[in-house]
Amino acid sequence: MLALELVEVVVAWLGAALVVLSDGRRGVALGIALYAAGLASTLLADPLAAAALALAGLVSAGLRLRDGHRGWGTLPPGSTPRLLLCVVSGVLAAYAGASLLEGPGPAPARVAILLGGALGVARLLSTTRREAALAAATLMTLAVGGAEAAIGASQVAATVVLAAAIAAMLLGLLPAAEGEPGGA
Amino acid sequence: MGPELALGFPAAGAVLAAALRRRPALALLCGGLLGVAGALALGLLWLPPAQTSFLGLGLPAAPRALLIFSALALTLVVALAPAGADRVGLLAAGLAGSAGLVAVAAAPDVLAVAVVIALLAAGHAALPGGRPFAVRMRGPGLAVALVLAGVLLQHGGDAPAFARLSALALVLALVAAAGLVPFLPELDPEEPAPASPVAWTGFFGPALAIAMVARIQPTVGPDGAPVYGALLVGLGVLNLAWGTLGAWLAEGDVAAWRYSFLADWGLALVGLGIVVPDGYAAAYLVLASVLLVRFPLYLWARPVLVGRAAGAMGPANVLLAAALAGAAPFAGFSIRLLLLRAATTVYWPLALVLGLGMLVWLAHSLRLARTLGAPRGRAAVGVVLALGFSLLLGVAPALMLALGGL
Amino acid sequence: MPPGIQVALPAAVLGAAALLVWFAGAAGLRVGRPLAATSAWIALAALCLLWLPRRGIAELAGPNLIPGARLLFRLDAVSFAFGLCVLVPAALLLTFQRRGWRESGAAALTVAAALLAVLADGILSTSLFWGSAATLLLVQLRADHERATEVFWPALLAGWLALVWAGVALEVTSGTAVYTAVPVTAMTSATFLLIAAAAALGSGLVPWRPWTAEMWDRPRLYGGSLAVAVLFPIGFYLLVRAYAADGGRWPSAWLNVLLGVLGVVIALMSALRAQAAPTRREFLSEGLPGLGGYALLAFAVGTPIGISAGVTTLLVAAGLAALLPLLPEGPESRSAPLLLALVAGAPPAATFAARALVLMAGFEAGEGWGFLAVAAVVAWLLGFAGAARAGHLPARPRGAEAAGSAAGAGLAAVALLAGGALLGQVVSRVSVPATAEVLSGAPGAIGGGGVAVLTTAGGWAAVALGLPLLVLVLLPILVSRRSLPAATADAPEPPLRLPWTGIAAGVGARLSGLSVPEQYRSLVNPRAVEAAMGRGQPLLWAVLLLALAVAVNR
Repeated sequence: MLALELVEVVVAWLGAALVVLSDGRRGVALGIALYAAGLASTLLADPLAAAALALAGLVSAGLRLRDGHRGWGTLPPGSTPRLLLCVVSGVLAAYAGASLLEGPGPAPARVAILLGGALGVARLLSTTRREAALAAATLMTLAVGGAEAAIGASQVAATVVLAAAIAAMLLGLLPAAEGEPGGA
Repeated sequence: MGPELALGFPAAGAVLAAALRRRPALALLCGGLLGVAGALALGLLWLPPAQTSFLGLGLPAAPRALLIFSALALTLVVALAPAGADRVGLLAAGLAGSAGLVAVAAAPDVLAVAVVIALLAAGHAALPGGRPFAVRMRGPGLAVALVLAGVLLQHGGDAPAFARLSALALVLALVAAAGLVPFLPELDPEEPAPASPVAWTGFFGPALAIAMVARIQPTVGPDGAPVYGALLVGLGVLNLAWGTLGAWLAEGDVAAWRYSFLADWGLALVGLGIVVPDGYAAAYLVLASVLLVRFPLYLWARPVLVGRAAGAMGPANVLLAAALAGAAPFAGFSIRLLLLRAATTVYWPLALVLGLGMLVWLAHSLRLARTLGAPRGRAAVGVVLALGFSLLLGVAPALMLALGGL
Repeated sequence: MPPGIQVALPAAVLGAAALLVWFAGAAGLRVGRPLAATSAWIALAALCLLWLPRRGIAELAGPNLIPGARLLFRLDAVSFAFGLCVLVPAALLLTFQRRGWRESGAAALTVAAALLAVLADGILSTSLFWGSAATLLLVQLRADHERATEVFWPALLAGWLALVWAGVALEVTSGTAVYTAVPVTAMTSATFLLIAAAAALGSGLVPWRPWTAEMWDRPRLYGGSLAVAVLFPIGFYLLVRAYAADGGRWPSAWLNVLLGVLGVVIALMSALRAQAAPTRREFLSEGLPGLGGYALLAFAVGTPIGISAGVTTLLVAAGLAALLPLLPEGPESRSAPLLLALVAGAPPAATFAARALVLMAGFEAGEGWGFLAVAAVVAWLLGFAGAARAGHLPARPRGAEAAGSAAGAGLAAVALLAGGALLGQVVSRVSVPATAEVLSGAPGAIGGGGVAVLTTAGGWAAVALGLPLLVLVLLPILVSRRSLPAATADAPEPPLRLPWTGIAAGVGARLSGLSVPEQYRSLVNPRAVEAAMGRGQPLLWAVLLLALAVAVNR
């Protein structure tokens, strides 16, 4: 069981790290998909929530393959600080989620949620590229859905998880190209 | 299905207005009608039969009133937009934002609010603007992360530290979403108004703040309550000082306007942090005045701000300066009355600090009023309406408070 | 009809006139000035008719201002007296000063707001209308010229904020800010100081040159003179009502001393500035502030004579507020020396009688008040010296438009002389009832009969004291065929040079020259901090969050 939980968390971490470390559409898409899979696997106690988040992640990942920089773009030159960020965040999230926090939900879920939130916001604050920002926002939205699912099963929680899943898919719909300024 | 209609009508209006962009008159008509329908649906929510919801959504009175004010503000700025403004774009963006705000107000918990903020942020950042998409998403994105952190800490354990840190994170989330100090976003003076950070501070922020506070305050608990109140008051004073001094000393008039919003928000945050009825009422009135007075005036000042028209200082401008300075009989009178009463009730030195901030306020009011130029035609009508709203807030605040259930 | 609706009648007349003026003006009918003037006289008549026949207190309750605070009005002896102080000069100025129809409409509305401020029965109600009047005046002043508004606006706003704070402080401690309902224990020294600050700033009761004098620096006097006329009494209204709120006294004796000393200092400083004035207009600008110092001294004395003297002085100041802007500034007038002497307080004018009454109050109070009264005498004498010099000064500075109307000046001068002659009537019918309203127990120490003022020390009449002197002065002027010597190109030397002239400008220049040394600017650079915030640097925000997290957990 511990090994399984470890795998779940590592998958989620890998996914979030790929989103942070990749500049190409394939790397970003794989990152989102892996993160969603890892997150969903930690929430299997609520199968509907897990399914919704996993599906949302997959769809969002698929949509991110439509446009953006071609290829993987993983670990481009100058990405060492980002790599360090991923490693440190992973360690800190594991410590906080597993040892410091006593809830909500099981420890792997907490760690996965923390990873999505922390790495997502770190990527958002450090990038000026639209597709990276959208991917980061998708991570955070999935993490929010995961948090709601971890807090407890109820009608409200189900609604919010569904909303987070839909939001993640809608974020995937937005194109990666920057718009033009205009108007007053 | 009142809440669903209040959400669906403006959303549909936004979609239609964007889709019919190449036929502006039709876009304005369809979008306008659906927007009005949405506002009516909001208004009808005062009747109990209209409050039933298929999705279990509820809209408390105070956020509902601010949503109606948001709709009113949008009507004003679209109908009375200065010449050359993209009215269809304003309408589409405004309706989408309004739909988002209804969703925020109806959200069952603070995590749902975070989801809506993420969508709103992405939609706003996608508008044509001067700054990159990612830069425009930072503030609201940080707000989402802070909400997430706050909720995790809330459920993290029974230790008082968790409650305090949770309160800290949630309050900072509110400040980040509204684009206030210390999360002040970059300002590009040339950027179109709908895409600028002033849209968060002046349009999305007020209803968002009231809705978030309604979700956060009951959950902070006895350990988190002192942190919650102290942080709101502290950040409020910081924004008041930063805003009043910044507006006075800013090099550009666009920056001066943005700082003036900060000053208003400073008063609102202090009011929300002083957890007494007078404080909340003052915050509500401040946010209403931001929506109905300051934000529309800022949009009508854009021609002068971007250099397409000349500034002026006629009698109407002086009257506007008095309104913007918070003088009687305008909105500032009742706001200052309530806020000073709340502060004196809780801790009188705070009233002194607020009074000093209010005094510095007048240093920038003439400057802002000058940027409205010599209003003509639709702009003149808009200025009169804004002054009228300010007067209503000042001399009949009880009526406005009653609309918000206060 | 709500009971007490008649209280709002005078203000309603003015408000209706303002509306009519604007509608008529929009329709092309330029009847603004006569309409506004007529409405002011009707309002004055209505006020007198409402009060004088029966002297019955009337109260009007309006809607809630904010939860827990209602809009309240009250017509009693105090509000009647102060209503006269507002309406009399306003009516004269609206009648004899030239202003356009728009300005006339705005002026009528302003007078209505100022009147409501002194009819208000609570601090919060007063603050609403006082603030509104100040806002309307700001618009009128700036529409004409911006000079002096940079002093006027901050002073009024600061005073208004202080008043609002005082009002809410009373509400918090006692549940009400209504003058007649505040418990005695609620009016603390701190709250009173806020009220006093509001009064000082709003009425220009400060030792340095106040906004009421700065208004005379404007090229045209019609806007500033109205501002002075309607706002000057309101600060004193607050101080008088504070007596009622605290059971006939101010919260502490030292507050009386403080304000008494302030009043004397104001009178002295005003007199010093007046005697060193470079133009006649600048001399006249100190007329009202000087008299204000006397009124403040009188109110500070706190005895029945003192308060009656204060109210009387304010009524005289109202007349002066109308007279001064109406004095003709054209070719040298043979009546100029007489008018200047009347302003300075020569008998038998009301300006003399009011000052005499104040001094009498000070001497009769004893215990150090006599010394203050002596200092006030010195100020009076300096005023005469200034008036004598002012006759040789140029009427107005370069660039200023000639103001004044001979008819209006004549009427106001007659009113001042008549006021002096009939001071007894003014005291008995207006001042004493107002005093009785705020002091517990009938003020039997002072009364009036015919031309004389009656006190415990005896009766005296300004007419008796001054009429022979007036005749002696007037006769040579009227008989002489020579015109008065023209104002000299070089102003005569003042009797006393002001040692602090230029200090303020020097201090201001030094302060504005201060700056943070180059090598330390990076430490105090809000723009850099803001730029860092705007770039959204994760490190900055992470550090901030960490610092706050530590702070909330200490």
